[in-house]
Parts: sequence; structure tokens; C-alpha cells
Amino acid sequence: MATLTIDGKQVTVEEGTTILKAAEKLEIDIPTFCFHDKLEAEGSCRMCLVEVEKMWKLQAACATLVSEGMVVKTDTPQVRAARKGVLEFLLINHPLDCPVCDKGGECELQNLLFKYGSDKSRYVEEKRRFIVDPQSKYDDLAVGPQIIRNMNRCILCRKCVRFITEIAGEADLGTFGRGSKSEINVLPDIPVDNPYSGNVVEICPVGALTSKSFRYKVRVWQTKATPSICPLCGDGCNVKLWTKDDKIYRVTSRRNDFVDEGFLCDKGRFGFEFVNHPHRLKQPLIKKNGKFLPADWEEAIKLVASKFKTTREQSGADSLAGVGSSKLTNEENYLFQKFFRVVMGTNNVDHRVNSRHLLPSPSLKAKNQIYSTTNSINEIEKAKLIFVLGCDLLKEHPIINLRVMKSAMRGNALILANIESTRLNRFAQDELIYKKGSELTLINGVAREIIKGKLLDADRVRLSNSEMEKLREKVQPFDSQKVSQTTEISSDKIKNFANTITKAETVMILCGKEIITHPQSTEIIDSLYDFLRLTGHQDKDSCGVNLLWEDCNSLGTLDCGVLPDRLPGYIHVSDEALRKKVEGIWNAKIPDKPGLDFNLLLEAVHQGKIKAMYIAGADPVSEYPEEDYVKDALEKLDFLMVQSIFLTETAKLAHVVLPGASFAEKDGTFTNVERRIQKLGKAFDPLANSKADWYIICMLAQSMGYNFDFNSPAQIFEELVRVSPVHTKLSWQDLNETGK
Amino acid sequence: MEKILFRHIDVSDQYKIDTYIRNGGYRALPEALKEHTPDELIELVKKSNLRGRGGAGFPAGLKWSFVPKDSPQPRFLLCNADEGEPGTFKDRALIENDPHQLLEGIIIASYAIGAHRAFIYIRGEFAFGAKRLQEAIRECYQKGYLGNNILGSGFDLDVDVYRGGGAYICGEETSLLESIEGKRGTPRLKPPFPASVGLYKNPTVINNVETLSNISYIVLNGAEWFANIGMPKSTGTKIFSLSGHVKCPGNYELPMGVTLRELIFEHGGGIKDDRQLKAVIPGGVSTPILTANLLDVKMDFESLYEAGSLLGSGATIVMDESTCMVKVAYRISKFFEHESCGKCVPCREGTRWIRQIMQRIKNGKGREEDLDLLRDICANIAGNTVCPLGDAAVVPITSTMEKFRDEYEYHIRHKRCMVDLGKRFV
Repeated sequence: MATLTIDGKQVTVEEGTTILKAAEKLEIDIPTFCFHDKLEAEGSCRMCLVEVEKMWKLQAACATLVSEGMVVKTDTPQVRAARKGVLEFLLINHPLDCPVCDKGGECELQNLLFKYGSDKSRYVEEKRRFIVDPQSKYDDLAVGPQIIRNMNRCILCRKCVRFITEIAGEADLGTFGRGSKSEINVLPDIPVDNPYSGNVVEICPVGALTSKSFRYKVRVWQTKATPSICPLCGDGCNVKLWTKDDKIYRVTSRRNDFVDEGFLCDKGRFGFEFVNHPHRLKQPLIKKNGKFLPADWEEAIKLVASKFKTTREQSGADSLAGVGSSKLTNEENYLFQKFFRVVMGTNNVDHRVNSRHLLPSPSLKAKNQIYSTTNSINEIEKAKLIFVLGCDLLKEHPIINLRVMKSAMRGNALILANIESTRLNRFAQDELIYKKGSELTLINGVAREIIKGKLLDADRVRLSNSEMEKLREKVQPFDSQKVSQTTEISSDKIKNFANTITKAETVMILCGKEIITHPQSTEIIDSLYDFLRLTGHQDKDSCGVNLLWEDCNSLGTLDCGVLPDRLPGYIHVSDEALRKKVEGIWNAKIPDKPGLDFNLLLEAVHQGKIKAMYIAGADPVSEYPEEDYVKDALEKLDFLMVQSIFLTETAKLAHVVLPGASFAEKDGTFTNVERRIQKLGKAFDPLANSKADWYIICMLAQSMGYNFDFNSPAQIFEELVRVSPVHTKLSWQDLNETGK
Repeated sequence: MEKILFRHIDVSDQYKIDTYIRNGGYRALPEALKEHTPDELIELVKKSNLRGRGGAGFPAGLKWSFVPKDSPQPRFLLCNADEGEPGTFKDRALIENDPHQLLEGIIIASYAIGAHRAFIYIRGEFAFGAKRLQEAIRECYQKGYLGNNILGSGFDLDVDVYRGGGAYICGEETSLLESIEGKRGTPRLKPPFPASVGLYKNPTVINNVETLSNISYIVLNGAEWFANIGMPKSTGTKIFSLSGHVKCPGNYELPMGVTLRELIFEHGGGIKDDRQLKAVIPGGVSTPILTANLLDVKMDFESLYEAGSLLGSGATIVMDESTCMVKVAYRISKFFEHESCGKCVPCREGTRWIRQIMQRIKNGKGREEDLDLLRDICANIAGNTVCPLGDAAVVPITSTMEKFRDEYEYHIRHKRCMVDLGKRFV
């Protein structure tokens, strides 16, 4: 620790802290341009110059480390003169076109000039122009499919270039030229087209880099920024939705160091257009004579309620089935399964529509073992070896991909095993390309190699003798020749891998969609755990097996009990004691027999056992591996109600379609891959005549004679906390800011 | 006075290893390797008070001693041969004519700091010098002066020549590091200094060609011998690159402390065409200009500092009465605008602005307020930049404005040169 004095105030900070950070602690504001928390300090803008006693010239606060007894002054005539000087230098060549600059209103140059700058210019020379097209008086250049550069406005803080190289690990943006002719540019015919390119627009302090999708559409001060969560993958990046009326204009990051560190992928940043899409459903539809006709809510709800009621009366509760969605909020999914268990009286409820092969529902005790990530996202960069199995991280989890890249750039080992080479390969020590379906053989083969090759350190093994014997037996058949044949990986590579993973200090395994939807997923995951116990990487920090669930609320939907055999928090429906507790809270009886999972549901529909179905948010026709099979099933139903924001392929088969709301139009929570529960923010009301999904479920319950007395997702969440052992100890208030 | 570095400058094949050895070369190396520990060598150079010849005059021995002794990281020695300061051409002469003298210094210095890898970063335009060095290095490997177990001492060293791309900024030591690492030549923030965090983040010593060329003689003749040459605090000889309006321009090796008068009139043969001396830039364009009345100033670090200038690289640029100081300042401002790397704001924007104003004044479009503005701009650059280039860029402007203000004012008021004797209108 070091104690220093800044502007007469003492502060004690850790050694290695910069003056800037120490001043932040004292709430002393030091202006910066080129500084960015996650990038290496460059000290080039000279805006943060401060006076340090015993140093003969001003020092850059962003890069100067504190020392014991240091005396810093941030507001002396010399410092003020330097700041004013820097601002003048930046402004002499900067076009004063603020009224038509897209950054106007949120420009750091504008803001700092307002605070520290001069009110008149002493510059009478010709301003510098970076001419792109001599015919045009505008100097805009498209440097990527999403990004427009105007070099005249650039202040060369180089945050964009540094982000691209230091964080995104790419090289598609660079500094060209020298001195006053320096410019940010791309190589000819190589545009900035990496999956993180949008960040450079957000990082840019001025209007030099703007995004095609946002520029000139609206002035920022007319928009409203609502904190929310990105719904496009399971990473759960924190975002701000910038809206005006009922339209999203852009999405920017809302830094959460537990999750995204302030960066978004382009999918998340630019993928919001579906919310504004003209094809959004805006009112209930009832199919009459094969054609959808608009209806009002009362009529639609009444019709649905009566259909469900008649079906239940005529064919029993188990002829009804519900399909929830991992894209709906926790509150909606909770309410959905409650609706089926309480109002309909059946456990026929599931949401896993995208695979023929489902992981078994976990027991309450082992919930962390199968369904969750063992490690937090922040632990990723601490693991000495990361093993990614069956996952194209960049495509499936772009932000976790950033963490893995960061880890690799810092010198930690990274080994990939995939069915085809992935972009992350560049950072990996090795990428094992195996034949699709041979994952189990690969893992068991490596385990055998470890046992047989006597690579083990006996002290590290976390298996009892009998377990060891069992494992030895299990992997016995996987001799290297056979493994090599099945996986199509050379036995040398497998040996090397066995060696590396045994010697690593800590090992973290990340599994993607390929594993989650794998026919042998359970065996693979079990084997991975055996594998970690065998090599002594069990129960240590930064060690574990992590399933990276695909959708924004995959884990939450599981946790909330949208499963045929589990109540919220994985309480088995046959577990009488716990079920009774839930029945007490719900004030209703819950059937004690597990319902049918989605695959069995389809079978049952084909067999005529299921007569009516309620699908909320899901689109099984598009998501299920066998489209025709689902279609046939859904067409066989007596009654199908679909709740959706678009007329999806599934909705087209429905008898009644109710328009739900997108993530931007409702409150609620998502649970991300590391089981962090985070709040969405309602940016505007559901479009036209559509309604939030939780509200629709409440209306239906009401209409069927049950009082679902909830006024807000907050209330639903509080009940979920009472019911579910997974959510216990949480409260709605706790979820602000970073989530929990 | 006996020459040291230029003793064999006129020997036509001194660049060949056999000639170098015949003339007494590679005698210091075995002595250094076998009779001295690295610490003793550092001590020796410290005692000699040899100061860096690249411009800043930092004591070489002290610099060597900053390399952490117990660090497990590899260390590097870099020879800065990116001679780019306008007016300076001494290193080129040393490299082209006596490359082994430099290499011997490099090997001894590497041994002293514990480096097993040394680089010579040579200015891109010095193609011939680079070739000479390559050839000299090849000869060294053949004779066992480079490679593994040099002269049976157990000390290993490899030397590589790295050619720059022609940027002035790469002569600044941290930009030079960036450049060798294959990046854009832009300066790093200091601290940390290269001695602790240098090439590829390893401890690195960077010395000038002339500095390193002196090492073998200090080893052979002792620190005291060297310290007795020149001035008490500026020891040894200095190669002065004399240029401009003199009868005999060229490199002159003279003891530190020689007067400017002696350098120009005795060695340089006086002013060309016997015109009047007007001004001298004593240490390369980034040192303050001296007026003719300071002819008796001694050319060493201290005396020149006292006279309001700097010894710099020892590049003495002589200007006679026909020189327009505004034009001089403009031409230099153009150089610095061109060579500013563009990394930090004051230098990137300031050097351009200065050039624009200088150009206007030179072209007879100056305004009275431009002089105050120039002074302000210079003040906003000086001391506020990442590297010394910003400081260097303002010196020619402030010093000419201070000493020849009447010429600036004449330019502004009469829209033409004061010195042109009616011949040159602008």
C-alpha cells in the first residue's frame, strides 16, 4: 500500500495504482481522452497531465504509478494551462460541425471543452482535411459494414485500434501515416468486419467512428436509455436500450465487470431490429376457416379458456400440454409452469424444443453438477488451462470468447476440441478436430492415456480406490489405436493432450451446444467430471465443467421448473415433503406424477393422447431437429394456442395467436450461463395491442377461474423466491446494477 | 591533440578486421573478458565519466549500472545508429570507416551488462554502413570475437544489424525499441526506463555509436587517462560535425571544451567567402541557436548549457550574415512537422500549427499577434509531450524568436526578408 496526497487530501491505495485511479477514489476528476479502463495506458492525449512534486515536468495521471509520500496537484496554473493547450490543439483542426455531427450531445471533446476550453479560436490557418472523395465535401469513409469513419473529427486517442488489437485480438484497424497526417484506417479491401467491431463506435470519444445503423436517425438527447439485458445469447451482457417513443434506435453496453466488462458483440449491439420489425404481432388472431382474423383480447382469451376447459373436462388434465421458452423471463416461465400445474392440473410442461436428446433433470442436490456452470465468468481468466469441448465459442458465446482470448493472451494455455476448426484456434495451443459424435471416446481415451501412461500424481487424484477401479474398467476398452481411429485424431496428439492436462495447475472445461444436445451428453459430462477428479482438478478455484447454455434464459427456465418432473428449484414432483410446501404457497394441489417431456409430448400427440397445447414464446417448428414431425403433431391437435411476438412457423399452425411483448417492453429477469440473475428494463409499453407474456398468463388464469394476483414481475419473483430452493435468499431489490 | 576514434579514419581499409587488428584493434576485448569482471567494467566506465554522445549526455557507466543485476530475464544491448539529427554525420563516418572499433565496444559493453544479444539499429538510409557492419560482424564470427565462448572466456554474444525505415523518431530510444519489435515507431512512456523494461519488456541498454566506440580505449588506457582528456565533467573527445557556411565542413574529433572559435576558424577554415558569422547551432537543430558574439564558448556539456544552449550531438551548423533566421526557423519547423510521430496531441497538432504560422510569416503574410501566438504554442508543447521531440521542435522557434526578434518583426511589417540586401523578395 502507498499513501499519497492529491490536492491536499491523503489517500492510501495499493501499489501499482495509477494517479488517475487514486484520484478517482478521492472523487477528484481528472479529464482524459485516450484512457480506457480495459486498455493499456497510452498516455498520448496529454489531457490528464498533473503536477507531481519532485518531477520536473507534468506527468500523465493515467500512466504514472503512485509511490509512498507522493504529492500530486491536479489544479495548478501549469496544469490548467496544459489542459487548455491540449484542448486548443485538438480543436484547431476539428471541424466545428457539432450541429450535424452524430456524436453531438455525447461527445467527450464537446464536454471537456465546455468545462475547460477557451471560448475563442486563435487558429486562422486552413483546417486539415482527410479527403476521401475529391468530388464530395463530406469526408466519410465506410471502413466496415457497420462503421463509418470521418478522420477530420478524429482526435487519435487510438482507443479503437487498441481495442481491436488488445481485446478483440484482430488487426483489421490500424494507424497509418505519421505526425499530423496520421490516420485511423483499414488496409485496402480488408474492412473492419470482426464480431466485436461495434465496440469501436461506442469507445470513440468523438464523431470519428459512427455506426451505419444509428447515425443521423435521431439526436441522442431525444432518446431515453433504459438499462436491460441482451437477449441474444446466454452470456447475459448488460445493455442500455436507447429508445424514442416505441422504437429502439441503438443498443450500447452497460459495463458489468462480472459479465461483459463493458463490451458487446455485434450480434447483441446491432441485433435489436426484430423489436422494431413491422411484422411484429400487434393484436390477437383467431383462425376462422383457415384464415387468421384479428380479434380483441376479451374474445380471444374467452375462446382459449373455454377450449382448455372443455378439453380438460372431456379428456382429462393430462391431455393438455404446455411449452415454455428459454427466451421468456424467469417470472413468465415460473408463472407458465404454475399455470399448468395449478390451473390445468398437469405436469405436461417443458421448454426443451431444440433437441431429440435431453439431459436428465438433475436432482436438487446435484443441480450444480449437471445444469450449471461450476465457475463464474470472472474465473475464466484465472484458469491455467482452458479446455473448450464442442463449442464454437465465438458464435455461441462471443463475450465468454473474449474472456477466453484474454486468458490466452495473458499466457494461459487453451486447448480446443471441435468437429471443425473455429476462429479461436488462433489463440489455442492446440485444436483437436474430432469426428462428430466421438466425444466420449476422446475423453475416455485421454483418461486411459493418463492412467496407463502413469502421468498421475497420486496426491492429486480425487477418486477413491473403488471409483478408480471403476474408471479404470470403464476406460479399458479405449486403447489409443482405437481412439485414434474413432476420433480421427492422431495418438500423439491425444498423448500430448493427456500430458498437458495432467500437468496443468488448474483446468476449466467449457462445453457448448454440441455437448448439451449430444445423444450421450450425460455420459460425456460424467466422464468429464471423472476426468477432473482423476487429474486433481476437482473442487479448486477456476476448475470445473461448465455447460454454456445457448439462450438468454436457458438456465433460468430450467431453474424455474418448466420441466415435466421438476418444480421450480428442481423439486421433484414426487418429493412429497417439498411438494407440500409448494402446494402450501400456491394454495393448490400439484399432480405428483411427472409429465411428458417435449419428445414424449410429440409422441403422445401423434398417439392422440394430447388434445390441446399452449406454446408460449417457443417456435418448435423452426427449432426442433425434425420439422415435419412437429408440424404433423401440431396439426393433429384439437386446439393450439401460441403466444409469440411474430407469426412464426409454429404460430401459423395455431388456432389462436396471442401477441406477446419483446424483452424491451417488459420487466423481468434472465439467468445467464453463470446463473447470474439480471433485470431487464421496460423501455416502452408493449406495442399497440400486444401484452407482456406474464400478463397474458394472468389473464388466462383469471378467465379460467383462478386468481393469479400479480401486478408486476417483481411480485412474481418474490413468490418464486419463496418457492424455489435455487432462488432462495434473493430479492428483487438485490438484482439492481450487476444482478446476482 | 591526438585523435582517439578518428585515429585511423584515413586508413583506406581500416574496416577490414585484419587491418583493424594490425592497427591495434581487438586488444581491449581479451583484456576486458579475462581480466575484468562485468562490475569492474561498469565501474571503469563510470570513473572515466564517459557521457552519452547521442545528445542527452547521460553518463554511460551509470546507465549500465541501472540494469537489474538479479533479474532472470535476458538483457539486451542496443547500439543506436539511427543518426538522424539534422547536421549530424559523425556516426556514419565511424560505422563506415571503423566498424570494428564499434563492434569491440559493443562486445565489451554487452559483457559488462550481461547481454547475450546485441542489436545495431541503423538508419535505413545508411545502406552502405549496414553492409559494412554486416561484413564486419561476419569477420568477427570467423575470428571468434562473436558467437559462443568468445575467446575462450565462456561469454556468448550474437550481434544483429537492424535497418530502420527512415523515421527520425526511431532515434528516440523507446521508439527505437518499438521499431525493433516490429511496431510503429512511437515513443513509450517513461518510466519505466529501458534499463529495467526495454526490448520485449527485458532490461535493455541503449548507447550511441560514438559512445560505444570509445569503450575499448577506456579499457586499454584506463579511466583516468580518459577523464583527463577534455573538461572535468565532459571528458574525452567529441566528434563535431561541422556544416554550413564554413570553408572546410566535415567531422572533427577534438577534446571536449574546445572553443567554438577554434572549431570554426582553425579547423573549419573560417566562414565561407569570408562573410560575417551570424549564428551557430551548436548541437543539431534541436539545440538553441547561438549568436556570433558567443564565439569563445567552450564546446562541452556544461559550458554550452551555461551559454544557453546544449552540446547535443555536436552537430555545429554555421550560418553567415546572408542567412534569414525566419527562413531557418521555418525550414526546421517543416522538418519537425514531418517527423513528429503523431502519437501525442501537443506535438502532432503543435508542430503543424507552428509550421503553418512560420510559413505565413516567411511568405510575408504574418500578423503582429503571431509572435505571441507562437510563443504560447511553444509553451503548450514544451514539457507536455510524451518524448523529447516536442521539446526539440520548439527550441529553434523560441531561440530564434528570442535572439532575432527584429527579423521576425521585419518580416511581418515589411513582408520581406531583412537580410536579403534587396536581392530576394519573398
